[in-house]
Amino acid sequence: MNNLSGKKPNEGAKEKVPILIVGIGNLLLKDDGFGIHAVRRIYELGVPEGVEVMDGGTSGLDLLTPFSRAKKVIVIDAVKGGGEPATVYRFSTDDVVFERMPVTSMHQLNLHEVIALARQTGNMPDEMIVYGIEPKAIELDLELSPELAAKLDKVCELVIQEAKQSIENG
Amino acid sequence: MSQIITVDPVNRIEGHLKIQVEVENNKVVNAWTMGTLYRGLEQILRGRKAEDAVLISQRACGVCPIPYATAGSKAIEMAYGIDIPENARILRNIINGFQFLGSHILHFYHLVALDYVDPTAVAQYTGNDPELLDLKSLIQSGDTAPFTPRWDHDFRLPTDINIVATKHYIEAVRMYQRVGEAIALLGGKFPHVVGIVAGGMTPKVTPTLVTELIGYAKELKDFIDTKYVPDVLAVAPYYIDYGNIGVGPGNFLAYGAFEGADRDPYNGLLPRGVIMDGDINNVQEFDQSRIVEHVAYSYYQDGNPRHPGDGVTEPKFTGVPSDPRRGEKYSWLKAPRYNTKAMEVGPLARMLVRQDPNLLDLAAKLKIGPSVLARIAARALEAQLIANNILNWITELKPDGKVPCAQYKPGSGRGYGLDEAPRGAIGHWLEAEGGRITNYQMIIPTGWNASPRDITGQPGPYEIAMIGTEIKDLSRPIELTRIIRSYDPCIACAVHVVDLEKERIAAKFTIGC
Repeated sequence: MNNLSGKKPNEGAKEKVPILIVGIGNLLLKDDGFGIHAVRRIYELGVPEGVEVMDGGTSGLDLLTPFSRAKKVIVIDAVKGGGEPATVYRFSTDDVVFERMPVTSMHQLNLHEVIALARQTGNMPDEMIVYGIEPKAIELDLELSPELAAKLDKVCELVIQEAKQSIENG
Repeated sequence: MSQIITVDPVNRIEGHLKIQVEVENNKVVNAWTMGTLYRGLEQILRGRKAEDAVLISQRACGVCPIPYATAGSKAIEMAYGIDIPENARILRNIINGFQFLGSHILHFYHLVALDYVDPTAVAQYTGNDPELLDLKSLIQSGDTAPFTPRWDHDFRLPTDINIVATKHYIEAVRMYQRVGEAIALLGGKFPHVVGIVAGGMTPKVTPTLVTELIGYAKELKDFIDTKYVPDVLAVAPYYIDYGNIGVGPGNFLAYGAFEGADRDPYNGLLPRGVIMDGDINNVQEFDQSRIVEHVAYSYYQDGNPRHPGDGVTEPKFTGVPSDPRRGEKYSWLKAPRYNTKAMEVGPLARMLVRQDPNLLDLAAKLKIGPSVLARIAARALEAQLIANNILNWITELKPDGKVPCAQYKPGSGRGYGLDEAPRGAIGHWLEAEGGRITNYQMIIPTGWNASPRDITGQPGPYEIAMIGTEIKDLSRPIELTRIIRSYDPCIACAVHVVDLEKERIAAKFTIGC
């Protein structure tokens, strides 16, 4: 996990990053690594002003402090939502019933649990949006499935667009 | 008629560990601990600059990377004959100290407490604490993450203790965040740091740094003194039978940590030493040349037991045995032995080697042996000891505004770095030529505790601790997970790189531990 400074959480809105984009997943597990491939691509495409981008890897609890330091967090992750492989989802964590939240959990502590802990400990940002993509295969491989790889740029553009929009809207 | 039961995975939050036991009349008669992942960092490091080991070896673990960086640096310093500045020694004590506090707090509240504490009791909360009220409404609406899934039986605490411990569970998350911030001050980032290097440490020692560190140390000390230790003492009497369950091999090993100005590992806050054959008041000197690693039951090319300084890592996966009783290889962990014996490492080993009066008094008062409860208590008392001393170390620093790091020239040589991670003794053995690694071997804490059998058939510490245990409900063997979790297993640090099968993922959820 990168980009975590020594700043204390909850230091007030002035200190907060307007938008934090976090890719989550295990790069070694093929489509589970989609979020990591995405943040790498976003670095290449150019990070807009006021936006921080983080490779969240398989971090669990360590995500709480970065979450707390952002006004809005956009998570990119593999999501099992029941659709065809490479189906893209976008949802607010406020709109998903936790028990049924369809996030796959290849991580040591999955996003569901991290969000539950973030809520309980006052570390949630004002808004958290998840861009998910239905994985085709989760197995030992550094490359995405072709169907998911074909969607990579599109998802990154959507995320960047939403980030820019949010900053314009203050 | 005996039967085999399997628990996979054992860990909450961290890890990739499977255990199998053979049970006769509800009693464990045989046990096998299986590390189901392969690490391979040794191969990754070969041919690289020795300094890379400090950065790369940390990636074995996301919970306790600091001791990896420290042991790696020490190995280089021995190989190249580097003497680190005094401020670097102190800063290493401080950063490792924070790592211990974070790891121990995380272990108790987030990995182990949920085997004893029932957070769903918060549904009966009648007070005014806003956090508990929030949690109450979540639980009442059926959202019990991250407390479930679990085996929901054998919870014995009264409602008020359950509620207090759950409140502290939430506060412990914040304490873990504080630890991350303190470590990032010294290491540059968290959890994996860049501030520990061969030759010393990279942060400038300034008055501001000292002040900030004191703030973090005080906050953590307060949590440990007023919550962590009291919670452990409050829970213990309700599970006093665990004071005699899960007794390990009776052999304890500590390399020692937190050296003082004399740099004598036998004289640090946690001293070096070994205890053999259950003779717990007889602490002996340690001789690193008596360590060997066996591979008879491990997925590596067969060979004689080797000292890690001459160790080899040649993987040879022969399949998961259909029945562990068949005597086939069954784990990705090697089997380290000291003086031919399986050794327990960790807080209990360290506090016994220290002959820590607080632990010995508590054990005598509660009439408990070197058991599940003793491990949990030793961890809490060790956290308290370290928290007290971090403040002293911070005041020992000389805030001269300089980077405490020795200059040196990379060269050739052999060295080893012995240190303590929160989970126990950690050793790195290095051979370098012309600044490049020609051989690198690590024996990590869970490698000792979770080791499989050696060539003589002697089981590892977890296995010994499980054998003889009575299991009340074979479909929910909570006794076994309590035993294993008392060691604070971190198989993610024993082995890395993942081999997941769909079936195993499904099993992960159906077993629900």
